[in-house]
Amino acid sequence: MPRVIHPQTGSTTPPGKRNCPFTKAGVESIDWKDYPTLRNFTDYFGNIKKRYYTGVSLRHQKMLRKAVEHARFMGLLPYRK
Amino acid sequence: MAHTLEPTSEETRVYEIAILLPGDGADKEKSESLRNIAELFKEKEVTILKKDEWKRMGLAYKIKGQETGQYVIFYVSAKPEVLKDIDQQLKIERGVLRHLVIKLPPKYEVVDWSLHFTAWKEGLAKEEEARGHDREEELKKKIVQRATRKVLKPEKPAELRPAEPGAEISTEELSEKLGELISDENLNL
Repeated sequence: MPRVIHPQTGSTTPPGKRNCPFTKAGVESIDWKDYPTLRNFTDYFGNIKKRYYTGVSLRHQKMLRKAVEHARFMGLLPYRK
Repeated sequence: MAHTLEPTSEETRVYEIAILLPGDGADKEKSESLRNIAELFKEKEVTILKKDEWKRMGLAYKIKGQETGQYVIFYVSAKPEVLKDIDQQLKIERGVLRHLVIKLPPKYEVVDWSLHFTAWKEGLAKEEEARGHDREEELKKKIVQRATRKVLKPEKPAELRPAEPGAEISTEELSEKLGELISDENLNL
């Protein structure tokens, strides 16, 4: 089973200098069906959290955006809460 | 049980076709739409490598008046030209709420997501239980602290009493000094 990945929000390192949790876990692609992980990277209103706060690398943020959009279309995640 | 998928021949590629069926529909309708999809796949010479049927679950928002749905995910190997027709046919299909056809990334590992989801939910429930235990312990500690404070409080007035005689002494000294000053002969008033 794949691991559930959490963002770096709330860590002691200042925002903008945080390490990517996906790179650390060695993730090659993000699946739209991985609800437990995607849920952590969206806020209360259903928006994708800023890279500045979560520490996600640009490469993984692009994958994440695609995955969240697919999940929203299929009714797994909300567009707007 | 993660494993990668391989296309059946050189002309084909591995794709993922996800389908969302309505949760309210009867088993007959569901099986009919699934049969239609299977026929469609047979027509277009699509071979199913793996079929993953999730449990019925709630949707994030209403789709065509439905609040629950069931996901059926097919991992197939098909020719690239066929996909457009499949996409159109799935759009026309009545029993299908939503469908998604995507090309899988290289070295994609197939995972049983419904199992992963249930395992994750169980983990969450356990965490919450642990949190509840911690909260109860904290509350007990707080109650004990409050009780000890109440015991200590009555002693405070007793501590204050000895301070009052000190003030009296100071007044006596003051009166003595005043008397000395007044009795001074060099004082010119």
